[in-house]
Amino acid sequence: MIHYLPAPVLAPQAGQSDGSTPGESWLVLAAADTALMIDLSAPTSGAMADVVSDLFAAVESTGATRAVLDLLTATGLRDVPSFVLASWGENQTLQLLVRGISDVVVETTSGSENVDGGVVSTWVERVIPGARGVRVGMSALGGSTASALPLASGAAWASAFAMGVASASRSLPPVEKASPVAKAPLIEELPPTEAMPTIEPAPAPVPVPAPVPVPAPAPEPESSPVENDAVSEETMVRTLEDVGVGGQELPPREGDHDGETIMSGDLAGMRSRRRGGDSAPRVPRGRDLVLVLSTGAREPLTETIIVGRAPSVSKVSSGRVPRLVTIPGDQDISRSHAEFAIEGDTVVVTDLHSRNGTSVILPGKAPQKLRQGEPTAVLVDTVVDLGGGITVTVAEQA
Amino acid sequence: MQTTSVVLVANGEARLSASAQSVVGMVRRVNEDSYLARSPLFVVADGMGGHERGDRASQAIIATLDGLLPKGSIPTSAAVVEALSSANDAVRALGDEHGRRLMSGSTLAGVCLVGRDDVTGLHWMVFNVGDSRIYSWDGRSLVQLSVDHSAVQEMVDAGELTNDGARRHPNRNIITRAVGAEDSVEADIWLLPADGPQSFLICSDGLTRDLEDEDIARVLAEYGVGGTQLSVADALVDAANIAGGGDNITAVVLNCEVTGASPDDRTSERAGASAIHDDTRPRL
Repeated sequence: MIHYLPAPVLAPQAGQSDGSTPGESWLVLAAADTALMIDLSAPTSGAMADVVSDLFAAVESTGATRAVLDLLTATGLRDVPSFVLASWGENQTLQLLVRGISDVVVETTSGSENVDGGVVSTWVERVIPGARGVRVGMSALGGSTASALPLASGAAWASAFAMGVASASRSLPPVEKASPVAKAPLIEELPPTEAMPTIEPAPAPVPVPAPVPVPAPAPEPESSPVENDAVSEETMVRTLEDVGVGGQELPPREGDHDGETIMSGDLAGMRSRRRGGDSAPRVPRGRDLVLVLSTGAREPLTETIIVGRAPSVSKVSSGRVPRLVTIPGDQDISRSHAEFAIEGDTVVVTDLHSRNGTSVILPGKAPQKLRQGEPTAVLVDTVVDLGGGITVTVAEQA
Repeated sequence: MQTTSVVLVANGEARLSASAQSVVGMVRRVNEDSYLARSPLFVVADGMGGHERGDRASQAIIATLDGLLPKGSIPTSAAVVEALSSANDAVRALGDEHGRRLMSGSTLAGVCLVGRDDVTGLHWMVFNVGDSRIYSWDGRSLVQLSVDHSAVQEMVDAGELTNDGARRHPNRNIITRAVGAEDSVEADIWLLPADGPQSFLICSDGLTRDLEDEDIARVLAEYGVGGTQLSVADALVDAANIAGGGDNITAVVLNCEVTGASPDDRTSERAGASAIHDDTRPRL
């Protein structure tokens, strides 16, 4: 549940935003634990309804952060609009991504904190434990949410929004009678309605209690009595679901269709029908990237690379084995120091809790120290300083 | 069986010696375990399926890996992943005498020296599918590197079962991943810097069902990993056989020493390297 201030217009008007505070071309999308506010003043490649439903599907998906970033960076970093993405994880941990907006205030148990995404060339990513709420674009209104409208799940044109953890949001009074309720053109299949279309979140997966698994009798029609004991000891393969451990099963959906309510699965279905079922993951296209080390080595960035003095990898799936690049002998470099990965069309650098830290020097900017363990998107030509005089430059392959 | 070999790489060398033993045990009639223990690849496969299908599955895996990862040359980690996939295909392709596909599968656990270019990039690639295991041994303590893909391990992880209870649980023979069970195989992979002296034990569950980790450590300590008379693998397998021999028992003990890397890197923090990395997986 978020609360938002409806924008006075129902359709985007270009040029209303000054870039640092949300203007009148901003859309807010909300799902269970995630809210996205995004500037849609730039011309979009498709129909607005398509853009919005794609965004909503991303916000609603599990792993929303990744899905939204994939969508926003699909045509390159320079085309990414200003946005705020707030997503709550376990233990009131707020993951916050901010690009091009200054007025973002996070309330934590120890006070409030401003997250300024207006001064960076990519976006700011913060992981804030113990966050109680986040307010975007509220400062101009003195932080007042008096005229805010509730939005459980859906999309609406908005000039500001506030989102809290479950307990925090309950204290915000929903407004009963408000000026024009936004007609959010979520998808064209929805019949016109004056009421805000709501999207029911999919029923949460209910863990099935693990029954004591009973090994199915092995199909051994020819087995002789002598072998029976041995057969019961045969090693067998079962999927986790079969075994009933850690498996999850979706309960059957309630039939609750009234023509206005759609299930998230229906939304995905509509979208995939419209798009011809295209749900292939996006892969970087066109550009071949390479890491240029100050030692002279060049490492094609075709897969995830971990750079360090003696890098190691612990328990990864065989489909995602990173390449390890060793920089021997320099005690300023940690054993596994930094990770370089391609996500969508973006290069993401993560400091792997190195002893002396990692700095990024974006073109034309002062060096910025990375927060430990937090993936940070960087542009081509960014210089990553590992310390000890060792740098790694993200470059396009000549 | 004991082997010793030396692999030369730019700036250094890797000296590998291994002992291996595999027995049918006291209860089974057929040994469905197979192993390969030669530079740079050391693996154990525990086949299943009954009626001598299991041994064909584990043998198919060993033959495929032996062919794709030639003796004495150090592959890349990508080449090993590729070979694991081919081994899965080989098990899927197994047929009986009438050409019908056999429903068989196998565990696979092993280590392979991987790298590129020179000695500084050498790593031990540790890989696991199923409930065979890889341990590291430093002369004093035995550390299980792999995590079983088994029903009882899942229950242990969920806090429903203790390690001790898992050993006696009626469903201890149910594994949740196997080579040949699906069209593609997903192994767990570790990459550890190969540097200085290191030792590994690779074994089928026949060893660990009848011997506690402390028993294994005692045998390893008594015989030393470079044992010359009776091999340490023989001693381990004998101990498990005497303790019950309830399943096929296979053990491969690998002792290796990589020299030539910068001495600066031989720091005492090695043991903690993988644990630290556990905490630092990127969130996205």
